[in-house]
Amino acid sequence: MTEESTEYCRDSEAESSLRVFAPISRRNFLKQTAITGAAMAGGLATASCSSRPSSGSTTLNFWVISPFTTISNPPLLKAISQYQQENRHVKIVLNSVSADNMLDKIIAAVRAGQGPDVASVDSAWIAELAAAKVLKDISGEFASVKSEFFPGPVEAAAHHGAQYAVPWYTNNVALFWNKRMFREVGISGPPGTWSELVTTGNKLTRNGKYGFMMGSGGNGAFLWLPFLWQAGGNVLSPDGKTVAFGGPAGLKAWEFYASLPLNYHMVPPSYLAAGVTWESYFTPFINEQAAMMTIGDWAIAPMKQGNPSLDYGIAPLPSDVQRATVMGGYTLGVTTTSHQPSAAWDFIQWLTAKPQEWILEGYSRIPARQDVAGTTFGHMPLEQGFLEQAGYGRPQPNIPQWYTILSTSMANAWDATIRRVVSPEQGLKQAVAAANKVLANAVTIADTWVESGSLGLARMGTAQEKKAGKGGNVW
Amino acid sequence: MGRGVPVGKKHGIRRAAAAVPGARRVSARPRRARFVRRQRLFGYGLVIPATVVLGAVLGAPTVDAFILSLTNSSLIGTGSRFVGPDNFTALLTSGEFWSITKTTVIWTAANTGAQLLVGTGMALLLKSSSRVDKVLRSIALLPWAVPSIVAAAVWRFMYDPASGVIDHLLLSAHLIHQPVVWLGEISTALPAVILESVWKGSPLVMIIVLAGLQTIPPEIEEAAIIDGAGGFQRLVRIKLPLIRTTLALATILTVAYTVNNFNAIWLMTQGGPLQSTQILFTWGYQIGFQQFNLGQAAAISVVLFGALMIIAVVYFLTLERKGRES
Repeated sequence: MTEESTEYCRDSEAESSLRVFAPISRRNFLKQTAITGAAMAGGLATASCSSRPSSGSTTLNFWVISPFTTISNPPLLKAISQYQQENRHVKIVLNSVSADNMLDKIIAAVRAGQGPDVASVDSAWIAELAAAKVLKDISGEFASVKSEFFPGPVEAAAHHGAQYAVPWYTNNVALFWNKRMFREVGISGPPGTWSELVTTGNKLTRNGKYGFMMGSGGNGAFLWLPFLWQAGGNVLSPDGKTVAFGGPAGLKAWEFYASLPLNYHMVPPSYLAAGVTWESYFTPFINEQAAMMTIGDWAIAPMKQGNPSLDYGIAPLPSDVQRATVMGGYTLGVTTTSHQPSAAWDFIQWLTAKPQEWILEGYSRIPARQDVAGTTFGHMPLEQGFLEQAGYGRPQPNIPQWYTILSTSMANAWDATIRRVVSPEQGLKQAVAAANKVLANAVTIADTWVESGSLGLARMGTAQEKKAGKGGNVW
Repeated sequence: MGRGVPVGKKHGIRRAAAAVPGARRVSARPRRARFVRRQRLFGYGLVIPATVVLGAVLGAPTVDAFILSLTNSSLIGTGSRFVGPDNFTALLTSGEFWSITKTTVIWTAANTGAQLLVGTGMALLLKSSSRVDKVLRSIALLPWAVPSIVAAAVWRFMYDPASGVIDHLLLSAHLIHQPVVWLGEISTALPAVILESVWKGSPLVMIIVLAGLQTIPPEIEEAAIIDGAGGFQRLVRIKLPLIRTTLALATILTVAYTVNNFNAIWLMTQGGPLQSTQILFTWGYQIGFQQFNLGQAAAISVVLFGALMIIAVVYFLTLERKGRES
């Protein structure tokens, strides 16, 4: 045979084999689809059966903020596996959410019926979460263990007399100072007053290094609160209907705060971008580009990882007319959409009990329990600075609009001030006007609370109720 | 003759054949028509489930957003009341809306223009089938393949004045004497985020334009060379006009992705500083999920939707008209 004809033979072979498979009749197609579909359905059924825990067991979804999962060998994971071993019928699914996102995420999720069972929430959000019906009222369950916790954090986690979360750890904002850089310029200790802060900061600003780190935007506004209180000012008026931080004490504090970067130039320029996350705020201190910063204990663990050899101290904040700092902390709550609230409560109670104090220590956090404070500070001498000023700590205002006021009205005014778009005085006036607008257009249920001077808890009048139906215009 | 069937136009050729003596009457034409129709129906049947699902997943939230924009619904309040056009009037009379719209337009125009330029340029440079070009094309595709969250985070670190690589290089090259706070200054924040977005999105334009370039028959270019057309003339007079539809597709896709680019802006500046990088999309998110005002957030998204629809329709109509004219 010639080559041509062999090719021809091959082709016809191919053709004949093709003919066997060729016509996909509709019946065949449907049959194949049905078989595949049945196989898939069967596979899915068995798959879901195997992922569900054995009958009689409970699954709890726990949303925790990301600092608790993003360090190496997180103590929380060990604790959870310990809990699951002690309680065989419980399975805990951990979900890590960045603290910047936790508030919006949990409100949106619970509102959509998709929330977790247990969540870690900032004590500053309690009023908002209660108004949004995100957290379950646990007053009954909490009553038996209430006395084991510090009263300040307990009250911060309550709203209208009902308890919405269990205090987990408590913190306040203190002055972190770089001991090595202080030694190099011959300063023995951290500043204790505003004027000492200025002279110390100026001395430390040299050779491309800066004396004092600050925040922009929301971080800047938040860290200004201690200055406001130190000057003798208050955030809200006694009736809670307007803001009071625009008064003479507030103006003094705002102008002093703005003078540090604008007049004394003791702040690293990168502070202009340190408004979005906390990481951008404490990085210059970790890199020893800034000698001082004010922040809470949430900086300690990242600093340990970023620069373990950093020689620094933690001191109470400098004072003016009086000493003050902003008190905060995180709490654990059960959501209103949880299907197993009693199992969720059991887990929270275990997590915040005395034998589990080692968990928080692993994150350099101070438990909000009264009975472990002594042992905790024994393990963490660095934390003495926080303890010293704990008595002067004030919580942020306990109103639902607080987050909006802080992160929009005050943050924008601060951003405009530090960029010299407005003078400090104008900036503060803008903040006051915007904040009052937010307060007046309350979009939540009104209630009757009056600001209590010593704790800074805020309450609002019934006039809000009439306006509440009108839909907030926060522009 | 066979059965007396009238030979009419309706029955076409087959019927005429039936008029021929001895021919068997075949009704093949109607049978074929039935077969084609059944095939078409079968095709529709296969597509309908996907269409229904897509319609539900895309359509229902859109309708929901329209309804929401007419209420004063809040994420943390109780109950929502119908307020009609109040949200829209408040929106259109607020100065903030117009300045953010202006920023959105600048953001979109700058991004689209730059991405088209860079993407088309890369496509023209790397269009040959040599191995070098193939490798370079794969490398050029990497920015698009990187997850947008990773890209935004890495660029944010690069822009850091103290520890970022950009300021470090610029200082070492003595191009600047002080570190520039790219994401913190009002004058540099938007250009900085645009740069990241152009880096990320140009490969997509490159891929689309490459596909378009491959549809140009080489004979046309050869004829132009013979006629004495220079490289630039060939590019502007021949290649670009021939891939006009492709460029239109690339443009509309880039516009759509850019207007909806949440990650780049949110992760780098969150719309700051002082709204200098705020676009309608991120602003809507803030209003809805940080100020909990869902009604107004929905109004913003409805306005955005409307604007995009108008742009898309006008764009394609213009294109179609130009295509018919040429």
